[in-house]
Amino acid sequence: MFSKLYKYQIKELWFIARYFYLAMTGTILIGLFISETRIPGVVQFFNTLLLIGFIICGIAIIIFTITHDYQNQQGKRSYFFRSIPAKESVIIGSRLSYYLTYYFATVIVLAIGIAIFTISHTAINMMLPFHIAFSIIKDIFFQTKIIGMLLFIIVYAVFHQVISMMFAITIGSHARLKSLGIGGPILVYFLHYVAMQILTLISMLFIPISIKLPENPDTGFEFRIVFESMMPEMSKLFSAQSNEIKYIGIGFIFTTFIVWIIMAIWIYKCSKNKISLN
Amino acid sequence: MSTIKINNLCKNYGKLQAINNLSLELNSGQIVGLVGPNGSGKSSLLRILGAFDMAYSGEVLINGFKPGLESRKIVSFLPDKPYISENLRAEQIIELYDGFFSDFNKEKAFKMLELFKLKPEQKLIEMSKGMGEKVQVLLTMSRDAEIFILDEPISGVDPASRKIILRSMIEGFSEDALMVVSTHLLNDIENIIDSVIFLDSGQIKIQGSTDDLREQYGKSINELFEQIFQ
Amino acid sequence: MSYKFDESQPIYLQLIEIFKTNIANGTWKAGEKIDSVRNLALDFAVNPNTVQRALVELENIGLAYSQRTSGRFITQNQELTRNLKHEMAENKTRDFVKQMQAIDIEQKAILDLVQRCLSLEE
Repeated sequence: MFSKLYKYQIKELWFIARYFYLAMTGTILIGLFISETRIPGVVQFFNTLLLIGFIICGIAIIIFTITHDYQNQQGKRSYFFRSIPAKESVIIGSRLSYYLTYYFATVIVLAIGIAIFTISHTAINMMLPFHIAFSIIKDIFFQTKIIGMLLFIIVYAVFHQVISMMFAITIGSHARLKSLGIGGPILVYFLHYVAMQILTLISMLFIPISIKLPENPDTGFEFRIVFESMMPEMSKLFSAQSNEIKYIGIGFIFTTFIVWIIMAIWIYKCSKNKISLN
Repeated sequence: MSTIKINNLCKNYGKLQAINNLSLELNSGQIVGLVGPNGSGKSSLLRILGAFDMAYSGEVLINGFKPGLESRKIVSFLPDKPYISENLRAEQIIELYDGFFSDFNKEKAFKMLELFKLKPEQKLIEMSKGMGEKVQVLLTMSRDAEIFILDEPISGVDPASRKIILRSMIEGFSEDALMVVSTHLLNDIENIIDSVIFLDSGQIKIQGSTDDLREQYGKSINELFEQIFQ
Repeated sequence: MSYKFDESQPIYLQLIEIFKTNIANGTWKAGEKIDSVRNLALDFAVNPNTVQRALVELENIGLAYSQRTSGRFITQNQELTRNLKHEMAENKTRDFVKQMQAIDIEQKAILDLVQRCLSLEE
């Protein structure tokens, strides 16, 4: 049942998403073709336009991923989706997999595209052959720890986004919020966003785990984890004893993780016992 | 043997009371007509039975289960609005249903597709509104379900297709099956149903066997309906 | 197929009348198996329970009988079918006479009319 549900959701969006992926591939190819001409000015101008279009396509896929889930849960396909005799955990699991598939696919395409645009941009600005520009960019990412952090941030952000979206759509369609229509999920998302910001800030300030920023940029990007919260830092900053931040609290990672679990349980309960279609 | 048991059911949308302390018991082996003017609570009641609306008070039991996973396995539900993916071809939708519902009868579905003169390779988006409704009806009727809940199954289709739908209801009928049909086209359906429930402001106004009511009032069910809700 | 029922009267009573007519005129022959309830329901486009009720009624007055495994049959009792025929004919004639009297037609005129209609039929 899980794979059937998963395939159904993937296919349903693929009818639309395929055109956007095609357009994204097209913009990269056209961008490369224009860069190859190496006409200054023209290349920059068109590549900027193409890059904007490229990113918009990526955002569009994400938006469609969300709206299609809404259509399945509460919108025009909900009477089909909610009549399927599948366990709630299977339904939620298939939704989660569907989201993650499209989010990661889109993020990967976006990352590859942006990398290609950056490389060709560097190559033209610095009057270098493409392969040299490529190795420069590659070195910046891979010889430092940036790539690891970047990957962590992306995976973390995607998971957080997906769970928040599922939460907003499921809870936002709850009986009492139902009358707001699509406004329900938007309201829940907004409230959840504000709550998360506050929670993140509190966690950064009070949970004693932080990343110590490199003190001397010349020694390279080196990050160390220290067991201190940001609070002393901030009080120093405010009492003007210091004018720079040395630590960045990362305690929020643990709080968000707990929040994810709470949201998952909430989604499960609501999806199982509180359905109320229009 | 399937049963629907409802005790003191209430449902409101804000201040509006859609269903008002309704109690009802229906047993298998019958086709029940649910009629009432617009806003009488027909769709609300059917949605609750179909496990599409769990925000109610009172007790609802379908074969002893609260509407949910267990009831979805045995209830085939026809909503009163489009609900299927428009990007799929009729045959793909049939395959989809076959995959999701273990009681789905693919043969029957393709047979009905032919009776309705629909093309298997046609996409739903290319079909007219009436054609789309026929696809939905055939999907619902092609499950060998224990309970059928049909919300306005014949209102959007031409008279010839109405006959096919009514025939499929008789064919789908069995000793162990229960069919609940809401409609405002009593004329077409009154010979098919064996009992009728008149709903008014979320309450049952009249309930009984159609032939008994005819005997009692000397009127057709349709005339009785018009008299009560004039 | 496509019977027109008078929906202000119970359908099962009208079905009984139709079945009786079928037996009287030999459409349904003595000893013959009666079609399944579902098929009859489809033919008349009515609820299967209504058909069932009419058939049970038919059994109660002896015009049909059930065999546990093989289904329902028309009675082989010739006398019953003959009586049925007479009874139906008499009832219809009585109705006819009542209708004639209602529009004030004399006995003699009624007989003349019947005779004329019969000769026209030939």
